[in-house]
Amino acid sequence: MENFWDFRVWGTFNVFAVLFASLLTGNILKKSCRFLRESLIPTSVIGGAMLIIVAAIYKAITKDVMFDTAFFGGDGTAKLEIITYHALALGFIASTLKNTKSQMSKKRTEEIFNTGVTTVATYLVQGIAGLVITMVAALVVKGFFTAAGVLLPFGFGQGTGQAMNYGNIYELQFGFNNGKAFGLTIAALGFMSASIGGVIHLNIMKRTGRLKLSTRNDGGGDNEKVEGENEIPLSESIDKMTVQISLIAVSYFISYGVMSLLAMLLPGMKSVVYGFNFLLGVFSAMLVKLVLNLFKKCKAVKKEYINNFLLTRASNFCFDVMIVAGVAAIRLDTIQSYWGILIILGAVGTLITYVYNRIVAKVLFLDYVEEQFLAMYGMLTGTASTGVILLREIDSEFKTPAADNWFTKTCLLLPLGFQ
Amino acid sequence: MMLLATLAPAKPVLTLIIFVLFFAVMNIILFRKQIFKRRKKK
Repeated sequence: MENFWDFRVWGTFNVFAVLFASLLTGNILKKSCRFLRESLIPTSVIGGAMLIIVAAIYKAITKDVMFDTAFFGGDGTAKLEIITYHALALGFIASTLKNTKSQMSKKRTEEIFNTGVTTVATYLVQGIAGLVITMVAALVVKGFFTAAGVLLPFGFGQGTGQAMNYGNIYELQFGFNNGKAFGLTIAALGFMSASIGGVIHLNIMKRTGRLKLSTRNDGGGDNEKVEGENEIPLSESIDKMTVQISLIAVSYFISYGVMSLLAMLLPGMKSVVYGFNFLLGVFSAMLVKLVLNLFKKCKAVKKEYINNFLLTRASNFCFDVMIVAGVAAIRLDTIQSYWGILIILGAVGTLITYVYNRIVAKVLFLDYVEEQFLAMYGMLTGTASTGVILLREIDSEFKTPAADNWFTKTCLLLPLGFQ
Repeated sequence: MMLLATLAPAKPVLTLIIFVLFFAVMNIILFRKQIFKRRKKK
């Protein structure tokens, strides 16, 4: 048994505490600094960037990796990567558990379908651009990993968690040196292009009179009701939030069982199987939801256990943690040799995503071109939250279906494994 | 996308070709009304 004063007992907590402290500090910075406020860079990215800077200063002074000191249990960097890995799956599980309304008109179904296909097509064009760049780079730079460009759609389109998962697969199975850090950096560049690129676009559109920015108060938020119909009470013998977290944990536990089984059956594909943790987590969540609905139909369960509002909070919490941990895990010294290629990938990824989504929005979403474009551009360079942040600048009350197109198409695309 | 990502390190050129083909198919699906409407007019 460890002594309670040992760093090993406090290491994991210290990692989380530093992450949350950086989120709070990032929030204060954002509120106080006009440039950061107007740049729309998410607080979680600012928090993560601050930790990178602090870690770099620490290393310059002490020659030690800050997160690998005893204070963080000796393996803080690995803990950050593990947090990013799990937070991705937990966030998606929380989103999947939500009850969704399925009544849609033919036009809405078509728009959602087009949004889904646009998403896939954007991933593909990012993949094409990324792969061409790194194939050329491999001819010029000796020993460079040819397929590294495939991390562009993962980092831009899918975010920190997936970029790290695939960077890890390339590192372990295919010998891509510092693949994880490469993937995480592309994801971070994606956030930068979502925020800074989005703001530049908004300012240009505003100056040319083609857009009017929404006035919004800070209290403006989701349209979701805090409590739905026939739900369990907020606090009884068990708190409602505890129930949501338990459902998320059980879903993830089931997916862990499936991953363990698949890894036993396919030992050569172990890293790939565990790299799909979020997809299997989503399927497990669908299974848990199905079981709950069956219990309701048989009247074994009379009240609604799922609360969309709390699950959205849980999902957003997980994604905030994922991003701050994923960005903080980047070690600048490990990707020193890749900076040139990373910047080219970031610039080309931004340009190609901008141009393609602009064309699609102008041709297919005539009723709300700008809203659809901003939501898609933000989501396909950063994550859903950056898309919503950009969209809110011109549609703060979500009067257009742009945000809903994205969230609903996710359910359609998941079975294809394209999310 | 996920499966192609694991193919890419072994066969990058083939992966690129598959990406391009899939991209073409996605755009035909996406712009189906514009493509087939033009053909009908002709």
